[in-house]
Amino acid sequence: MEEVIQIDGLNFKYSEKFILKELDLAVEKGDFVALIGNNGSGKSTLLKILVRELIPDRGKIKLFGTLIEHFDKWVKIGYIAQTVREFNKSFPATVREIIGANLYNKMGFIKLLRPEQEDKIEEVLEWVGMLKFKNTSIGSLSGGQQQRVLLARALITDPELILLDEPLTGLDARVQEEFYHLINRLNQDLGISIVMVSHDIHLVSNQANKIACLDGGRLFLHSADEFDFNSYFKSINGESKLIPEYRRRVVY
Amino acid sequence: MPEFLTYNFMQRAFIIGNIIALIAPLIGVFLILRRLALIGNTISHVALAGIALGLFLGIYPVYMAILVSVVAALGIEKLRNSYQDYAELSLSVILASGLGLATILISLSSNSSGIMSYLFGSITLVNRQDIYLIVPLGIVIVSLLVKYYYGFFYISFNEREARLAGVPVSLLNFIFMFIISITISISVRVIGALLIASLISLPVAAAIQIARSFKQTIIFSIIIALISVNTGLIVSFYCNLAPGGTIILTNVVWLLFILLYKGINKKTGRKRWNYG
Repeated sequence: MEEVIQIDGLNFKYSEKFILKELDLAVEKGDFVALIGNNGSGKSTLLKILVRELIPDRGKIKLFGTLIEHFDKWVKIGYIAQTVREFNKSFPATVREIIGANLYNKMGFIKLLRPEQEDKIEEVLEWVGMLKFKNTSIGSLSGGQQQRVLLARALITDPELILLDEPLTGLDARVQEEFYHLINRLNQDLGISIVMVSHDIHLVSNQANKIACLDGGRLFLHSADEFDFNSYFKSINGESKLIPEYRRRVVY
Repeated sequence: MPEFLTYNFMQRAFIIGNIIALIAPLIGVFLILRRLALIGNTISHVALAGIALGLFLGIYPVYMAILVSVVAALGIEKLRNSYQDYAELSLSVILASGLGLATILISLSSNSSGIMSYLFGSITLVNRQDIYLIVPLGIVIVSLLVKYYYGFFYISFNEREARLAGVPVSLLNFIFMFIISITISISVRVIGALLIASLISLPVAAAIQIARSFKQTIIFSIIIALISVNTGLIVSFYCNLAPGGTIILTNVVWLLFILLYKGINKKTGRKRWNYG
């Protein structure tokens, strides 16, 4: 099986404190990995390392078989950050413009959209069910719609892997469910590998085929079938928290 | 031909004025959406120091303005990266330094009366040398902005995501700072060092109120700037007023008109213009 992500012995320190320690992870083509863990467990840090926004202290990372230091096919990777929260609502741009910008690397000498790229924009918007909003300004859309647009933007470069960093924070349950359905279709129908950080452990663990749980800088990987939610988490004030005494490493 | 166009100096002022009206709002859109409007103000004060230096040394002031403001712009870009949390503070320091230097050079210069026309703009100052400098520079600037259109757009929307999408952010930021300093330096002849920052931001402030897309914001800003510059030049010719001030006030009238229009629309409950 082709490995999309391979991490060996990854260390990441922040102010002399280990955020990630001796971390190993393998994501294979077609995997849907849910990355879960308590607040501050290093989930977002791991994704930022994978898109080279942070540089680890030690360890080897391979993306599509190439060491990350030499990796240059970033168009293969779509990354959806927690953008909705840092969104400039008054930015005067249409959905079409926001998605088109992601084709920068595929534009010619003059960085403007070509007719076939306009068609591609329509195609990805159709996929996420947002075609009728093509010429709507991005700021006037709801949080869930904006997140779909960002998903379409990630899709426009035909990625083989999509990384999502808590894309649904602050959105209502129905919107979250629809979004999960969409991600699942990308995974099942288009064969795109997914790594998704989520707070909603219940929902994400229903969708994923692997559960990667970060705790104390370490990663515990499980197959979704054997993942026993109740032995790992308990609800504290309505939020699922990891139960340390049940911590165990399962070789998958 | 209307009377004002029969004069050579007015023809030159119109050529330069229209080039500036095309470029200033174009860079203004990217500056304002990145919340960096203060950069325009800062560089214009540094350009003033360049002009004062040119007058003091007896070198063509616009050349000196270009040289000094390009150096300052690159310094700003460096500081902005080093002090990301205090970007505005570093701008204030450079603005103050530019103004301080300009004041000293003006007081030392024997030709201190000439500085007034650079502060507020003057139509009669524009000569053939300006045209030979400004027309090619204007073409280069517009070409660069068109060539990297989506790159500048993406950086304005989200610099971090632009980097991930393969946009050469550092290179484009460098080119952009270069463009701003050249635009401001060549504008001091007609618009004036103290007023050019307004021509960068006012048309965009008005356009952003009615535009539904990035492209529309750019087109509306340029239209508003072109109308303001041409109206301002004609009015200043007939009424013998400073062109820079007239141009800026025409812009302000536009902005008020659009705000009023939007206010009335809101009250009567009409929908916003909806075209893509």
